[in-house]
Amino acid sequence: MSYRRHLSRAVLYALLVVGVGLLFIPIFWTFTTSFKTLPEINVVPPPIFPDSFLNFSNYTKVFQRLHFGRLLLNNFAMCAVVLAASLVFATMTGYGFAKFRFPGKEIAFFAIVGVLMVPFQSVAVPLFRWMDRLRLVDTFLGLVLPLMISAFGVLLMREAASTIPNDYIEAARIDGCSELRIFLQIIMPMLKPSIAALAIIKFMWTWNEFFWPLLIIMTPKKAVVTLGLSYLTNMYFREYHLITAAAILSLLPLFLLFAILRQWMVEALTGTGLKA
Amino acid sequence: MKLGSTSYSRKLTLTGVFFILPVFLYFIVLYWYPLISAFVMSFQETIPGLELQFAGLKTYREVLADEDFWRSLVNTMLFAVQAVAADVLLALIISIALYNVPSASFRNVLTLLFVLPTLVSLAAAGFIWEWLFHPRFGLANQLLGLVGLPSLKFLQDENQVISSLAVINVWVRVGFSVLILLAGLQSIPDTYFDAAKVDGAKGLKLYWFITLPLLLPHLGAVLLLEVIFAVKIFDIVYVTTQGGPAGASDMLMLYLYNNAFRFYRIDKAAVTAVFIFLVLLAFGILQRRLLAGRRYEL
Repeated sequence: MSYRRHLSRAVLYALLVVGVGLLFIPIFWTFTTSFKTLPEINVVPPPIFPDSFLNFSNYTKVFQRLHFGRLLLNNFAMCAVVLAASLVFATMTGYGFAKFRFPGKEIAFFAIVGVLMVPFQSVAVPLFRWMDRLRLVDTFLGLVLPLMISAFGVLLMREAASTIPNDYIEAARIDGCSELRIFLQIIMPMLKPSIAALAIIKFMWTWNEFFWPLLIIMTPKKAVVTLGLSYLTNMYFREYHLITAAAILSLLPLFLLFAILRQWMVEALTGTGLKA
Repeated sequence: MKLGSTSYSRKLTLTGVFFILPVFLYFIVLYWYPLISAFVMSFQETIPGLELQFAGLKTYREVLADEDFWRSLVNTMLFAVQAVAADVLLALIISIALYNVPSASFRNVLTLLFVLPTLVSLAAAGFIWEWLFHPRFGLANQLLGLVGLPSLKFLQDENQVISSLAVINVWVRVGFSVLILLAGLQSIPDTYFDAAKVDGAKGLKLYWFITLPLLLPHLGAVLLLEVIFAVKIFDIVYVTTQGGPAGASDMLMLYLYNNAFRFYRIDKAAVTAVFIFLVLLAFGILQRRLLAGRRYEL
């Protein structure tokens, strides 16, 4: 019995380790390729490791040719604005739905939550035409505007806010605290865990966003990282030693964040990670 | 001011409205208005000068008679079926395996490792895999060769391209599905298993009769989430095949994008947008039914 148990445990671990290994091969291969020279990648069979892990020429080329530093900056700026706006507005709205009564609340709630069922691509074309008329195409504002608030965030914050006991709010009111101060000094601090979860998820989505930047950005210098990747290709030839370097750079921020906030990220993804 | 007075309750009402109004207006302007526009545009046609004018169902008829539309619909369905089936099956196996790891800290480490590819953007994943799938210099064919299998052309072959895209999609998504299923497994009270064991159930029987039925809501959730995700596939295809070779990986979203931004047939793009909206609405309603009252319903 105990022998069988050991055996099944060994099989289990073997399965998991092989699974993780398979899942990691693409990242590993991308990483090693990013240090190889063009002659090194055009060899059969391909060498597993590059001649030198100190060959950063692909990385410097990516920075030169793509204005990659600029793209990273654009991407961070986009994430900062989107995060700030979505956290403030989602918390406000979630709190409003959880703790207040007003006429038309059901309709308003549906108008916001219903958005979850509207695929962004379905509204993208009219949205683009509208942005065009407002002269927001190829601008930073045009880039961030449609991504700024997610209905998902409102739902998340409403659920979190509804667990706050009314007594806290009532007590603050009796003490003469203004409604805005109640929100800023009592509600916001109590919602910190949910705000953190939303921040993580929202950062991930925004960092990886591709479709809307593809539509709205025309000037390569205004692009974000995901879009920049596609600039490294042309019809005839793909320079994979450069593409892999750019790909590694593009996933570095999220991987670093993950390394720091592991457990938070897993919880945020499990509890909330769905963008229907 | 006295609690419960009329002016007080009016103040509270106004506060509530103040809190939700910005976001309400935001979604009206940026989502509902464009959605209605898409519906309106779908009943119009593009006339010279890129203007739109009312055309009734003409554009609908045109799209329904368009071979490209049907091909991208069929491709999207083929892709979704493969990607979702593989994702759910793999996620189920991985999550059950993780659940059976006795040491909690070791399980956490493994889970983290499985989740990592989920962080990779679909665009980057497309490039990463295009390189792996390179028929001549790619790693995939080398590995196939090592185990004695013939080389494949992957993304460059009409018959392999959709499955290859499905592999990329699964690679990005499976960690996420694992998380949901693992949470589901961990939410099943031990008493169920204990009772079943007392009754003599063990091994696969335990999984078939106890675990799977109890996991069904989570499985359903993952299934629908992934279907909705797969139907919207765009980024991966855009950066790799652009619908090729010979239209073998044309997808609905690509059809929409090409019509709107390459062929300047905004009317046809609008019809496609309406079609995709209605299809996903059906799945979305199903999903909300299934998920009702669950933690990650959100």
